[in-house]
Amino acid sequence: MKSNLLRKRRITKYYLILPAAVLLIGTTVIPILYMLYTSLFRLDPVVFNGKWPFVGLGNYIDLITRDPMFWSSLARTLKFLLYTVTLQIGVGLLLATLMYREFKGKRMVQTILLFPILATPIVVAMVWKYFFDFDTGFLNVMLKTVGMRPQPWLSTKGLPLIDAIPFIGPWLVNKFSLTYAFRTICFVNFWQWTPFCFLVLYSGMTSLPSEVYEASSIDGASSWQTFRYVTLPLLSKLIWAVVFIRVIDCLKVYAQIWVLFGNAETTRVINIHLYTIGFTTSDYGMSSALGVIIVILIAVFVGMTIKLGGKRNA
Amino acid sequence: MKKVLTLLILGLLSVTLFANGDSASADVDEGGKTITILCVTSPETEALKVAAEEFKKQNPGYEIIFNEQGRLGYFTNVTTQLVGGTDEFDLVQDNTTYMTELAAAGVLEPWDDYLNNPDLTDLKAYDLDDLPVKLTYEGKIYCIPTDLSSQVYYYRKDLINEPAETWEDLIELAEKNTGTADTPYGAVLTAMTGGPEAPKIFYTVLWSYGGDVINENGEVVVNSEAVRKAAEVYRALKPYMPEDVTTYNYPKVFDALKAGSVAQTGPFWNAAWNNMKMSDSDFKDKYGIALIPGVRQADGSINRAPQTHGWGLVMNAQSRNKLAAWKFLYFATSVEGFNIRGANGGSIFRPSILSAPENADNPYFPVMAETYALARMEPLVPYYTKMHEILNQMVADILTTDKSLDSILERTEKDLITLKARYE
Amino acid sequence: MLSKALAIKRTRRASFYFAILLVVLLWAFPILWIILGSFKTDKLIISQSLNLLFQPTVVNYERIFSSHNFGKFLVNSLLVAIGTSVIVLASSFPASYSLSRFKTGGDMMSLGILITRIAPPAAVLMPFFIIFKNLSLLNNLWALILVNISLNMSFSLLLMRSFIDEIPVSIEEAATLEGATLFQTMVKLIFPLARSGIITTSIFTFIFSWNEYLFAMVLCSSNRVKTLPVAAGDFVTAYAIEWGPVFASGTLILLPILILTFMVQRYIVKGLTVGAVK
Repeated sequence: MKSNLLRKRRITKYYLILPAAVLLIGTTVIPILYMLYTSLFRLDPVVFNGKWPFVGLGNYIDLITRDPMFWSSLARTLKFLLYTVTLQIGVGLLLATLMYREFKGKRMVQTILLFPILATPIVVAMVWKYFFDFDTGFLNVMLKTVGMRPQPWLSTKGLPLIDAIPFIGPWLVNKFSLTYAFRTICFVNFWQWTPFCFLVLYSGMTSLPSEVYEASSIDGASSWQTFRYVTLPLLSKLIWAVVFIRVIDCLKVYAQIWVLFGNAETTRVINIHLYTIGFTTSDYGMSSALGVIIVILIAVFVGMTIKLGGKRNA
Repeated sequence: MKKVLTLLILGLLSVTLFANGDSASADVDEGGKTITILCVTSPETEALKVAAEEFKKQNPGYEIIFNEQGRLGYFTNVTTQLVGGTDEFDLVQDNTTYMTELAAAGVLEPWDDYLNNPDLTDLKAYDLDDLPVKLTYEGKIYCIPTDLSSQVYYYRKDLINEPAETWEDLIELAEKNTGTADTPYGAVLTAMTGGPEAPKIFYTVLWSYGGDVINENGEVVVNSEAVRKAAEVYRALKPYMPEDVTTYNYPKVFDALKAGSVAQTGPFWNAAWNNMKMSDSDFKDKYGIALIPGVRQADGSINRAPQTHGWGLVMNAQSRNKLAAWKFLYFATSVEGFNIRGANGGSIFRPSILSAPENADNPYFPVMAETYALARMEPLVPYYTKMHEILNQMVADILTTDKSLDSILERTEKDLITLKARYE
Repeated sequence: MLSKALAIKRTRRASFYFAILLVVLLWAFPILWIILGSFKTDKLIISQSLNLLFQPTVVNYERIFSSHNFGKFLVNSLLVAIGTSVIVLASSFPASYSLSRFKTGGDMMSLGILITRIAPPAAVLMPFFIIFKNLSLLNNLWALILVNISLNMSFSLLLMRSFIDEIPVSIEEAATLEGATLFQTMVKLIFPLARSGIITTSIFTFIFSWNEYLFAMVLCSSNRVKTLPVAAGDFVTAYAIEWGPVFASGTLILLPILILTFMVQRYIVKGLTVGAVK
């Protein structure tokens, strides 16, 4: 019966999908193809309205072999991903465990945690710019009020604790981007996206069958043991899904860093580098090439996660 | 009920959207007497608006629409729009440093035909010789700036008796006034990495030592003794400046001045003088203005070279109201236009006005007259923005790393040569 | 003995609420500070003390509405956000229905939809600009609507599909046996049943379009078609940041989001989590 019904509708199903497909293809595939095309030319304002000099893979080769910032911003992106995603998942899990019980005002707390995810990025970035200002920012004014030394939150200096380690301190700062500025952008990203991780992990926890908890508490497991050996394994698939989403979004982060630091080298991740090439220096061909490279990198990442089985069919 | 509401919203939406399209086409048909100016939110723009009011009074029937935008992404937006061939605006405010690239791209309208047409321009009254700065590319004039931004030196008159004359003076005064009860910082430089400003300040210092980045013959000469000396001045000042000095752009330095937390700043832009006077700061009358410091020569004179760039209106080659646009350009840069804008927060650089006897009492005018006489402009090359990026990196390396100056300058030299090669 | 246990219990409770308080402070405070700041003068905002008690003023709001025409920008933002939501909804509902019920295109289709999301916005900005220029759509709200459709369609499709997946097929089979056409089934039966999915999708599309900044800045720079986030950036002037108006416009932009979060929290949570789990 069912298969008969479906067969009759074989064609209809394509009609149904048509408007969305046209819109999706028209508004995403065409620009991406155009990006691919422009990446093969030397394309800047001077030649834009004339004949574009064809350079083949020249832009790609220039980026990989000559651009001093390409590799460093790529490395910085990896560090950014590592720091923020680890923190977000860690604190997200902690919050989820904390909130895994009934208490007064729980709904309210959850609502508050929704704001950062949905708040307008440009507005949030400007508030943080204000908060972190050395002289008039809220954080330092507060520190001064309680008699502590103000901190140079936006400085590109190394974190003093690390910098002071004899011999290897400056090397560590350099290799692992342990500067005030980098910490600040990681924090802003942490602030905006930890609630998301919390929310997903929390709803995952609440949907776990309660019998497992009962069983483990009968066995006399401590709450840490329950978490480590019961909750965590059951959530592992979900955690990977969150990592997956966060990695893709982190690669596109723009407003937070741009408003706070512009394209300063200390905080220049790959997307900021892309914007700098494309718009600050108006090298459209080169930026398209970098765009293609980013798309390939993400595609490889997506392919790998699917292959590793962390995630199936989207 | 819900259906009705949905229909209503849909209807409203389509009506408004289409109405929008209609009004766009209506603008064009207004006899070309309405011009639109894309400009950045700034005191200079406010001054320009006052001039526009006067212009409209003198020329009934003309309308000027100011389309103001914030600094965030403004220049990139101007380039994108012009290069993309928009006709949304007739005139656009831009920094002269970016204009060569745009002129080379062919998206700007040269002024020559308008200037040399006696029906449109009274050249004698306009007095081209009284305008020291004109932006030309391949022999054609593309802009006569409305404002000229140069660099001067500001100091707290209550703390510093003798303004710094040389960089050594500046460093010495910085040391003396750091961490005192009055001022936490002895000096500050505009050194934000990733902004348009840091290399411009650095140019002033390196020029005073007789160095350059690219010389007249187009050779990269950044790896030189003069540039190294300039870098040493930066490193010497570092302990007396805010820890996060590489985040200091114009607004932050200006805020520090307003808060009275720096004893001196320089080179810094002349616009701050008027902005300061118009602010509600408690320190607005405590600062003095003087020529930027420089390098003492063997004969005792001091070599100074304030980097200067213009802010001006350029005409969009795609404009459909070019005659009206020219009429306003002509008015805004005429003697009358300068006087109106100068009185309302704009900068004045016509020597005839700067040296007018009625302006002699204001310390700003004599300092500016001398500064503009020394003014020097950056090399305006079509790859300006990319070169700027490399210089930004150099300044950041000087101020935030322990790398040797040799290695920094070598890297800069190498990057610049690579860049130049792409454009030959 | 008993009192000791009680004391431990109390300490635990206290530390629990303390932790919750910290969480609330960390995440609510910056938002609260924007709203508070919008009622302060610029001078008060950058003065070097906390100023928790102050004389509120509406001067910032007067400024953004009188000299910056925020009324118009508000309408523009609403048109873009509502326009995008309506179009995305109208096209993604039948498509998701087809994806869910007929597995159209199979797994490859889902992967394809996901792949469209990975292009970095900054890289496709120039292509969009050139395309819209050729279509004479620059400085036209339709351009922004199209871009926002591009940014939101894939998420909506996947989100909506997972909601429709939850509706049992048996209901439709019964309807078909009674002679209902596919179109009737979809509109009269599934549409009401998928209500929560539809609301969730619309809310997200609305908020994401409402928040969009990068494309709006480049594609719609004229005052006639400017949207709120871009207008808020305009107070970062050439020489200073006018914090008062920045905070006032920020508050104005965040207000609908705050209201939506309070009103339809349930749907938002569902949307975020379903999107992740699927």
